[in-house]
Amino acid sequence: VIPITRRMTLLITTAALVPFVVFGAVAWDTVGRSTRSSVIANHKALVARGADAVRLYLESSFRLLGAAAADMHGLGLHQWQQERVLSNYVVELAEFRELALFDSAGRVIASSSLGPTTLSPQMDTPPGGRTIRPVELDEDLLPRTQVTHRFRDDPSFYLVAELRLEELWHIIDGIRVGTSGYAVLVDDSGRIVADGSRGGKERVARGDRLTAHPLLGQDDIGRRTDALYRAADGRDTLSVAASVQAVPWRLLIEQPVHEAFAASRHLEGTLLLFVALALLGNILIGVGAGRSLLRPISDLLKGIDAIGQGRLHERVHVTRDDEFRQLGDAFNAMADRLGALQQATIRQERQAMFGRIAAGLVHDLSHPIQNINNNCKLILQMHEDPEYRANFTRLVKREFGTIQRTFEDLRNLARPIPLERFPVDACKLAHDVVDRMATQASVAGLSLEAVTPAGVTLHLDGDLFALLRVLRNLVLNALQATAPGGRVWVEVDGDDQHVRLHVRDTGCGIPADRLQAIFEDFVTTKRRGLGLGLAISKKTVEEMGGALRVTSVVGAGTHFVSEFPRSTQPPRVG
Amino acid sequence: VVAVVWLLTLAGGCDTPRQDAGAPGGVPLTIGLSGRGVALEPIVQPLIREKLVTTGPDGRPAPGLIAEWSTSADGLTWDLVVRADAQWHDGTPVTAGDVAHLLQAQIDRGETPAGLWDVDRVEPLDARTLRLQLRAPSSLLLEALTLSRGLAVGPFVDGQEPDGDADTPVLLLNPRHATASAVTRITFRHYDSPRAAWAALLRNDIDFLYEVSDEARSFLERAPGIHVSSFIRPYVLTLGLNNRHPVLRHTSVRRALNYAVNRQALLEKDYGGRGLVATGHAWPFHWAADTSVTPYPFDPAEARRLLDAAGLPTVVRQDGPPSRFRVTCLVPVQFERVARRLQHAYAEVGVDLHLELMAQEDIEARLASGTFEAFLQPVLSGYDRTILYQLWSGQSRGRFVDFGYTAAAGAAERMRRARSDEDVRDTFRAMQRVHFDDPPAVFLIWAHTARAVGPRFEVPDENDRDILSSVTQWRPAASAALEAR
Repeated sequence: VIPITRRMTLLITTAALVPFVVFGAVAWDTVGRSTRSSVIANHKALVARGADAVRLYLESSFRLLGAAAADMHGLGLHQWQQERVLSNYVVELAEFRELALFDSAGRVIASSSLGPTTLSPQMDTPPGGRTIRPVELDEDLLPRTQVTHRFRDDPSFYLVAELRLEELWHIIDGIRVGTSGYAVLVDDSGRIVADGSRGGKERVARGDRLTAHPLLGQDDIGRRTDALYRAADGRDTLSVAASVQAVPWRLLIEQPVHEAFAASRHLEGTLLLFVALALLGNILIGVGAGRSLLRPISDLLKGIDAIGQGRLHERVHVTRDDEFRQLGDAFNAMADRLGALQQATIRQERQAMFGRIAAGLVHDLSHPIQNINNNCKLILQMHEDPEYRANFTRLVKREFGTIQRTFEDLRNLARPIPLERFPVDACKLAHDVVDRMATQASVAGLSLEAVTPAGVTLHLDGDLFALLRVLRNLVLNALQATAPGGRVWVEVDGDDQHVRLHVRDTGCGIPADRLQAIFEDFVTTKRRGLGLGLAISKKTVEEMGGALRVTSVVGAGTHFVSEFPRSTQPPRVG
Repeated sequence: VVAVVWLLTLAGGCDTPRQDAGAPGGVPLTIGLSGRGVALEPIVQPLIREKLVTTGPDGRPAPGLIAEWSTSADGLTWDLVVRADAQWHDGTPVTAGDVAHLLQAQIDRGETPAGLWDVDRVEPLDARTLRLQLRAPSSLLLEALTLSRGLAVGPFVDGQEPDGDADTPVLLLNPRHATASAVTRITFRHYDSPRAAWAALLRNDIDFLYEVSDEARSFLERAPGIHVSSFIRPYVLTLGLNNRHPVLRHTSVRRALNYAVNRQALLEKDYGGRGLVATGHAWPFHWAADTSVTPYPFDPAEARRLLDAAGLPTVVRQDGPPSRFRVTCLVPVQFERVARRLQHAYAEVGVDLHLELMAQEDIEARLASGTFEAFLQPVLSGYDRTILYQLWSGQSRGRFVDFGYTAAAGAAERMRRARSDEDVRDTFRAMQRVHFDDPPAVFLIWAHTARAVGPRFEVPDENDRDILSSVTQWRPAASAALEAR
């Protein structure tokens, strides 16, 4: 059974914990989602800015190409002048590796290169427009692309530029996220144009393509802009993408998940710590408050327990000024009254006992004394009669025996005789008692016999004289409770563990409502006596490790049985 | 490059390297070269051979195979002592006779460095000592020994198969070499362009990029595991001028061409500021150099004034821009951008620099034949004075490019005959002054030369020194570190 204090503590803490746990779970989920969303949004903003920077660079290159075309158009420049203009652009601007001017037949008119040009115009470029070739690997195995600008006013001329894509590497290298996040620029086929990762230049120089990237599938271009995936290096990676306007390229930002969401995890951890500490605090406060609140109940329980154990002097001390104090005061008042009642009862009991003892003594002693007194008067007259003298002697001896037993009982009650235990033959004991009491049974007109098992020796460890006293007392009670013509017998039996001495009679029996009280001091069913015999007998039997029980049927008889542990030691010789 | 090839050729002795084996297995090293015409001799020879005398960046000689030297009071007798532990590749001790044979063979060929021109007799005195008897004292004798190819006692041996490609030699570690080198085999790979070469390094196709172009340097420096180191080589980027040209023969014209160039801008734009603006052909870090000499300032107005004063008016031409005169400049592909910049600079003062892109080997042939007007490429100066003397002394002997310039001949000769450090200092500075007052060419930049080592190797920190010189100390990168890269 769970004590009420513990239940109250559980109730209080649970009532406080549940909202906290719910709050923690909801906050955990909300913080996780919102911070992750925030990280992805920031990455998207960053990749958009990066893509815009690439766009600006490319558009700047296109504008410079247009400016070069404008410098060369309509001015009637000689070829050497055109070459100087083109070489000027190449020397001064890092954007171009080479520039070349072509006619409508695709023939080179002028080139910035001192050697043969590797450029070729894209002839389907619309007048005034420009086209950009797909990225390809050049003879140096590095990515390159060419832009063709077709003159608007004179569509028969094409100005072609090879972009120095390595310049884009600087832009891409400048895009960093955290310590490990980097940017990758890829064309529409997934070929890496620029890579800001460690070892990224190797990938560019190898002409690698990101073919299996979740954001670069044909169906995904322009649709998905973020993904969590397992990268080739085995790390879980957050990737966001943005398209570069003006060219069919995409810019990716990649960052290991553990780093990208580090702030989110930190927040979650902080929240978890906060909730855990709050829960712990709640539990401690709940336990403390519950104990404080319920301490008076505990004190009251202890007080009640003490009262139950008879310690009526115990009191509870409730210092709080609330209902518990009233309850404590009421309890203490009740205990005070109980104490007073107990004292009164003890006094009454003592007075009653003295009365009973006095009455018993008067009763037990007055009859023999009266008998002795009467016979003493007669002896003066009949002292010559030898038969009377013999009867007188026998009567005086008997009555003094009665008086002596009364005193022995009282002395035994006040100061029990120490027991000395030795193996005792139960059957012999029964026969001995029957032999000693046979005269009294005969005088009373009763049959008294011992019934013992034949050929069996049953020993018990006990004080022989105490056992004789117990059995004699039980037999005497039976003789006194049985009408003449009745029967009293002492029976012995036993088993491997026990030895039992039965005293049975066919007397008047004991009413059931008095049966349990007959072993108490000063309780008797007889007209005469202090009522100490059975109480002393029971006590004596129990001191020898046995038990004394009684069953009785009114009008049919009574059966006392004293049961002892069977002795395993042989009896002492002599 | 031309000078080095020339010098190595003329200094090449008849000594036959005695070798018996190369170490099999080990860690191979592949060196990438930016261009088909890159000379391998300057790379290969220091790995195979050891010089008789070495020289540091300050131009002072230091012991090499020759451990000690002494000279007589009249400077005509030199005794050289061979290092005691010097051994050929097969373990045979190097003797004074071996060194004497090497020098005598070079002298007999007649194309020795200037320091040996005065040697009359070479004779071994004992197993380790040889004596050089000179007809006249020469302050360039020890420098000549630094320019000698040396003997084949270096850490590597030539492992080329008889039918192998001469352009891709194979070097094997000499198993008897005292240094426990992790690199046991060296091969070479040529690329058409610097860009292709550094892309190959990024792909780990090669382990070592001999020359890193400026455009690639920033990428390579950021690439994980790639170690870039640089140093100033004794080569000055030069717009060489043929002083026999009817216009270029005038001092004022050459001075005008020097004023017309913004060297600092060139250094900033094309070399990322890594290098030193040149004041002349003399090695600026030589112990005897006058460091107060300043480069020609960028002064186009002064250039125009000088050209006007030289009677060179601007005239309109049908086949080119209006100009005072036209000069054809031979340009190797890697210097096209610099050449374009010079072209624009000279156009500003009315000089038409006509650029002619040409392969390196073709340029060398043109320079050797003297059929050029101008050229643009680095010119060797060396850490000491021999090249300075040979180029500008006016003597055809030992001159790998004939500029047709004689103004410094007297100063050069005095420098050769200097007898004391004071004399060396005075004559060296006299050469600097002559070159400033009457410049034979337009000396532009002492550019940093960058080398790059790929992630497969861990190398010592060798900035301001050629990292290849420590190749025997390179170690394979730990696999974990390599993986991380």
